[in-house]
Amino acid sequence: MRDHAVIAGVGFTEATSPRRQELSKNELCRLAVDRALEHAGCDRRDIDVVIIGDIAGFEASSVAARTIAPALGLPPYTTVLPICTGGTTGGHLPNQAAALIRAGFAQRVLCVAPNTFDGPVDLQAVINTNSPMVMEQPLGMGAVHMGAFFPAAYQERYGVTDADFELLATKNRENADHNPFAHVTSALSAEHAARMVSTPLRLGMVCPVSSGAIALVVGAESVVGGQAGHPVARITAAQSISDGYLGGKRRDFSTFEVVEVMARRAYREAQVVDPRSEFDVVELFNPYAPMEFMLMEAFGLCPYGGAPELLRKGVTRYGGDLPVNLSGGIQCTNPGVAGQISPVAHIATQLMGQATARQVEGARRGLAHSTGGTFFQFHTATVLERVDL
Amino acid sequence: MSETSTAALIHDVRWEIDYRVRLGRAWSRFMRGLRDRKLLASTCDHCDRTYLPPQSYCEACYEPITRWQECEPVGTLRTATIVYQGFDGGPQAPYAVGAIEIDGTHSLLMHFVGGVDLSDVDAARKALRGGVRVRAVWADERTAAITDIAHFAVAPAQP
Ligand SMILES: [Zn+2]
Repeated sequence: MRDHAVIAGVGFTEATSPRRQELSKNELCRLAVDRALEHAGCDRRDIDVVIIGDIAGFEASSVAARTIAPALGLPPYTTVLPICTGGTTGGHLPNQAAALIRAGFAQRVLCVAPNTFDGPVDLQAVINTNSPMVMEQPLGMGAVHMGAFFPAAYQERYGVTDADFELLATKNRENADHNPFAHVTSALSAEHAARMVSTPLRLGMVCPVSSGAIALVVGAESVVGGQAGHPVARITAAQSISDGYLGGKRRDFSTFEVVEVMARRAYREAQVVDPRSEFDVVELFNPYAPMEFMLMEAFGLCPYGGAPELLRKGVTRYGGDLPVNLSGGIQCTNPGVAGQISPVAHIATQLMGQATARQVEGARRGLAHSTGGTFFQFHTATVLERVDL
Repeated sequence: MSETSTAALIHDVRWEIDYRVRLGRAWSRFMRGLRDRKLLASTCDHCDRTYLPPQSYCEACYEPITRWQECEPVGTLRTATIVYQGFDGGPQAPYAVGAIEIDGTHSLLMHFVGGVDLSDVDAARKALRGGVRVRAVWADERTAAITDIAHFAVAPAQP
């Protein structure tokens, strides 16, 4: 019988700046895994498959799964699946776990999202290898500059102001104040936040480099659902989509066209008819704050150009009827693969009634999105629903 | 006896690795064109889409492409960002990078955009709005690389 896949356990570690991190990668991952297993009420000996995320070039050794997997205390016959899609690796982990469980291949899958950004001495140098070499990399585009094209075009097309972007970034830092696993909070000085990096992106709209790990226990609902002792989060849609490699393939930087296609697929899978009213809580991957507006629109949560108004009306704030990025989002905490899985992890805890940040009372359905890669080449979407067992 | 500390102990690990990347037929022809001050695009025989950078197959219909054409190196700026904080080994900030639609093509070419004073952010952002016309400025020394175009210069406003 086909079974639903549910997230039964979530394990976060505190996020810090890399220089304050005292734990090795293995120790940090083990801590996240221990917390996730305990949360799920699951014994590590019962894990069938461990899926470990990785980004090529971000470690001093290639394929971190080789060193992390043996450090987790799992039985020697556990299947180890490294996943490396570069950006958005983390978003793929729970989606792949769901695929294995729905197919009947596994009953309990452990997803490990390591701290991926704290290894390189010069992270920017490594991220630059992500820029399309030969054709675009020699043209002075690092990650943040590639990211700036989207809000620049969006702003021009819809008349969105710098002040709208700054209001959004401030909203997210205030949300992070309530998330013990966040890195940047409203303690960030206004002067620092206002510094222009690459128009229209200012420093306060750009994610930090963080160190931290996140693990999830994803299992077959009939097997793990009753063991957790708390509600679990059923994965009702797990989708991904990809775009072209060169930046010039985007054609129109003012929208995330492929996200609109992915959203339609996800809503069909999860039987969501009206996303604006049917989601209680949303986490959208926003290493650059303005992306939150653009993603809300691509996900059909409001008309194109309409997201800033929802923020100004308080709809997307805590207490509004469609809170977005209550965790503070990636803008406030970005530990690489752990950052990419964090939207799913935060939505899952919200639906369990055990939010890491401020809880949306009675939250039943949520949307988690992740993206990354060159000019946001890859995206994932996960729709989650609360199940009381 | 040494003092026990829990502070992070960090060792440096360094790999020194160089790579070689073969550009392939389409990009080799394109880059050698740049060396000769020629901007070459390729057009799909099947659906007439014109690619710049050129490619040897069509992404839309997956047909092989055999038609090549030289483009006038002028186009329209669609989007730009002005970089005030660059990175180690990159160009000296400030500089501007844009997505340019070369006339007659159906793709965007990313490149430096010049000819605008970047010292005043607000004025520079206004000058680099979408729709602005630009023309390639060739580098004096050309090596069959994308930087054989020094930048695309914003055309002076018509009187
Ligand atoms: Zn074609």
